[in-house]
Amino acid sequence: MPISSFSGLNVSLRALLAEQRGLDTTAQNIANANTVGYTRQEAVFSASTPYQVQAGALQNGAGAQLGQGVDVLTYQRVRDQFSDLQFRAQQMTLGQQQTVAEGLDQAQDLLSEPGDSGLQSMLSKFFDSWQTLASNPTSTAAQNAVLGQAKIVTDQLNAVAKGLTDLQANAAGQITNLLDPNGPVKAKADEIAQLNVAIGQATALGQQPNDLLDRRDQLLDDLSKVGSVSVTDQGNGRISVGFGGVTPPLVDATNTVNLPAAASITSASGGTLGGLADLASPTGTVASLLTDLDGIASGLATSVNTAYGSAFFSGATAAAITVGATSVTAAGATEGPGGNARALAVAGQREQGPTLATYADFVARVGAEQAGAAQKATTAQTLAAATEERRQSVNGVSMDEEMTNLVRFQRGYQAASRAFSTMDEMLDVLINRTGRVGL
Amino acid sequence: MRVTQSSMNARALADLQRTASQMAATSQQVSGGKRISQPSDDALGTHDAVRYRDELAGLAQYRSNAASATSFVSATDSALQQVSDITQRVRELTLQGANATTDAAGRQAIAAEMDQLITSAKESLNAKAGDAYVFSGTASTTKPFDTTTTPPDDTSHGDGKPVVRSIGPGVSVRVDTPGTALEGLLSAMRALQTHFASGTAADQATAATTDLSNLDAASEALSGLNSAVGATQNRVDAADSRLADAQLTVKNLLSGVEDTDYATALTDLAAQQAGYQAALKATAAVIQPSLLDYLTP
Repeated sequence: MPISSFSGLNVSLRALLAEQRGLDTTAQNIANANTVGYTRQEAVFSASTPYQVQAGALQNGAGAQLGQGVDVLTYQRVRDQFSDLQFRAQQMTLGQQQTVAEGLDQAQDLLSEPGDSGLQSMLSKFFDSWQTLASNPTSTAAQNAVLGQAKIVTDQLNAVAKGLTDLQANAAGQITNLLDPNGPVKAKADEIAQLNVAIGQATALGQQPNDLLDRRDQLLDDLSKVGSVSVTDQGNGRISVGFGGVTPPLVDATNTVNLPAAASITSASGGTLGGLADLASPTGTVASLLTDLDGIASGLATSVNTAYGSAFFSGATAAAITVGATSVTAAGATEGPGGNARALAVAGQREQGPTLATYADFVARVGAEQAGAAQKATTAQTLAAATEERRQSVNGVSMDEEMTNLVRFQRGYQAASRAFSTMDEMLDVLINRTGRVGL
Repeated sequence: MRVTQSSMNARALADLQRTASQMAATSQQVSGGKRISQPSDDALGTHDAVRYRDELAGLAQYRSNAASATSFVSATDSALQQVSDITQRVRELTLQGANATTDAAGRQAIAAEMDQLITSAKESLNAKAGDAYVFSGTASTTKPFDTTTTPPDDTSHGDGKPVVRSIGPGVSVRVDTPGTALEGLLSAMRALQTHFASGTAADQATAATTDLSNLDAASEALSGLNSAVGATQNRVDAADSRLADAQLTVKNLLSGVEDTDYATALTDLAAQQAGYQAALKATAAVIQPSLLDYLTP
């Protein structure tokens, strides 16, 4: 069977169309070069199914396959799913440690150490005031100074305890806000569920819903900073999303959104939520700092009360400690008014009592916890940046590359046009001039 | 690895930010003068700083206790000095009275002067440091010697309990001298006064012999008290100068922990500034050009 004279026109047409699609894709990439979460796309070209020429087409009697030009096979998303998992894992650590570091930063701000306005300075002045009283046992001013300094110490202990309790309450409140039905987690989960539907439909039709997939991946990236994210493929492009290590999944196999209860969030939930849970939990970091602070308060009360010989401080926790005594006596039981045995015994608690040593340990612990969390956050930040860079190296848009492609497809289009017009000229000769001899 | 404009931008931005934040931290150290501004800057250092700061406050307080001890001791010292002068005068009067040339009227005059001298000795011994009687022990509001009663009461009314000042961690010093230690001297002087006043020959003889030797013994005891007070003062002075040394040491320790080491910090700052400028220059050079600059339409 002979081959149509117009066959070549069709080949050129396909080439023109394909190059045009290539240019379109390049234009889309350039347009989205700065879009967050955009994955560069690639028009994948493939030679068209060849035309089967029957036996006898060639000299040796064999058949032949005649090329029919080019087709766009698919518009491919150039993305590495493994980098996504790494990136989300780092985002989760980053979210968690940043939250803890910020919380502990507030805790250490409460202490204002080292300096002249922290508890150390107040305790020093408190013990100093007992020494001054010991030197001036009958001075009313010295007696009042002791009571005044004691009040300053208990006020500071109360204030730090309240600050830490508030920190816990704020963290618990933030968890509730994040998981609110009008909150950010719900909004993202809803959008993922909607995208699941659209992506499922497109995939069923054999389409490649690149931009929808990008949007869904971006939402998963965002969620991974709030809590740990695990993705399970549900077929047909749909996914279910586990969140915060809580069952049921945030977006389940039937595409229903299940918002986790605030009570189910633990520090193992990861991300901002995990960090907040660590701050808010009665067994978390802040709670253990509060226990330490209570130990300091009760140690102070016990050592001073024992040395003084009666209840000077009352209350055994940092939040509850107050100055129980309404007046102070410097003299011991058998001494005259000029004696100072009790005042000296209390003043001696500066060195002998546990208070200042345990307080110094406490301050160091707050500092070390904060520095540790901040260091982990910095590490996670660096790793997340490195992963993002690696991810960008695969899916990011390179202008140089797009410019090169632009030129490549433009030239391809020009060449295909030239092939087309060459063929046209040939047909012009055939149609308009052939058989016109002598006219 | 494939490099894209956005990853290059992101990297450049992250590097610039990191360098800038290091520079900000170092310049804060330089301008604030403190290496540790919050516990997380150096947890262990903060621990030490908290202890040193308390130690410093404690040392200052011990020095002020030492000053209080000094004022107590010097009040005691000057009172004893006055009593010592009075004792001297009583002794002179005794020798004068024992002389045969002194007549009865003269002895009565001596007895009268001695009575005045004893009263003024007691007044000296009623000295106060601040509002505390220094010879009363812890009964600091009770006058140790009563000068108003008749017949005269030369006994001490203090409680004799030690008054102590704390002049260092675990170091206490007794600063008072019990009034009872001076009762002997007063009674020796009172005996002389009584015997001269009575005017009998036997009493005169006793005054010249037994009473005089009692006075000498009491005077000896007084100079013992004087030197004990001097020793206490020396002890307080020594403690104070030890405290001053310790203050200096702890101040240096605190400064070493807490304060900026300017040589290091300024060197770091200079290096960081150079690094920042280099990063800025490199960034400007890298992010500018693109293939776009060279393609002609």
